[in-house]
Amino acid sequence: MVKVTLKSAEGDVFEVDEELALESLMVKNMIEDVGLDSAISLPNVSSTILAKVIEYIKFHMDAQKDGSKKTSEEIKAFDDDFVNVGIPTLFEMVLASNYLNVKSLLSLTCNTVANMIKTKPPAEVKEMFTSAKQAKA
Amino acid sequence: MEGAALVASSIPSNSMRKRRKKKQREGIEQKEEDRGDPKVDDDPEEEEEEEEEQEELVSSDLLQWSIMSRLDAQSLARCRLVCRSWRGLASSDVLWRPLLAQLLGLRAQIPLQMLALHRPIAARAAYRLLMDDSRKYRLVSSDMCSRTWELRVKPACGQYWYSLDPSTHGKPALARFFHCDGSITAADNDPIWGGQESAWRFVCVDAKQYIKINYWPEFTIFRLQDGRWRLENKWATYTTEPDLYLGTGMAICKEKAPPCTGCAYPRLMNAVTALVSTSFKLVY
Repeated sequence: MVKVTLKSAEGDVFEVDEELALESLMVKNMIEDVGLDSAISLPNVSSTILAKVIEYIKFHMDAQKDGSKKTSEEIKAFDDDFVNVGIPTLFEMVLASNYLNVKSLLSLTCNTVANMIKTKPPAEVKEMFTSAKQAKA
Repeated sequence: MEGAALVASSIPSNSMRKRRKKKQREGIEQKEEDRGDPKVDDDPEEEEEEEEEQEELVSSDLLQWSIMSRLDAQSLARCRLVCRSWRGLASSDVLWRPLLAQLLGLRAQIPLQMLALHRPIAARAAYRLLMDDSRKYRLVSSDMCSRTWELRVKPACGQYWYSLDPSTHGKPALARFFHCDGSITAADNDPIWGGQESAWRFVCVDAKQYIKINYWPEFTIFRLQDGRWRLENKWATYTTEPDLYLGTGMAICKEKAPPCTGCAYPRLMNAVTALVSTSFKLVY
């Protein structure tokens, strides 16, 4: 199995299967452009977030494989648990999945944010975004 | 090095904003920036807002395309109240056009105000017109005069009249036209028209609006789910002809009715030019 080396913003190195790395269209394009020889640096993604993204892709790849015993409820439970994080982390994941171009994760995280906005009055939405911004700063 | 170059090109909005910020600091005016206001440099409050925008959690493109596009109309309308930059983002045609199409799919009638338009309007404004119209439960003269009404006779009328109604044999219903001078007419080739229905007017009983035709029992006014109007008494119903094919958002225009000169709103036929310029597709 061919391995791909990904380098996070902090310079941490993640070694993953090529198959997994190709799930990110951005990484796929990079591999097509520069090849597999050097590490692919992702200066916009922090180590914690990159680890989360890899965890997500891995789970869904396993779930899609033939012979996988995971039920759709289990997958849904994983997704729900996966986005059940603080708002700053959630936004970082939105940014990372957009940057890495992982469609399924982008739609999962954006749906989560959209559902948060749906149930709140404007003042609370503003509050949510402001506090997340402060937490990030 | 190459990796870094790729990164920069893949996030144009962010880098653009940074560039704008830099230019601002240097006091250079930029004309190509569509969102930029030339006054920004002088106004300290505006400057502060720009500062905030700089630290945005997600870029406005991402917010609009990926997050706001997943909202329903009500939530999207609420987003316009969050802050100034959200107001602009949440008003865009890009977001409202699919919502408008969805709403049009459920409606059979285009509001008269929309038919009277002579230039295209924003999708959000169109959505609002449709919603405002669907909450209307009182008829006005122009509603009566601007549309073709389909007459259907009920069995209670007796076998003779009932069998004369072509819609009971699966044929198109009889068309009736109300005019603002209080007269009623039918199409030229109407099989049973003999001038029986000669006059109509609004009547008010216990603050409720009814339509009186000749000396027949009052017609109660209903609004159907798809936005069509219906007048009903124990003998017959009059229903407005749909302007839209249900589910497709396409308008139909039929050249049946003689124009009603006294009405403020155009008949469907006259409204064709106005409609072509809006987002509807027309079928003749």
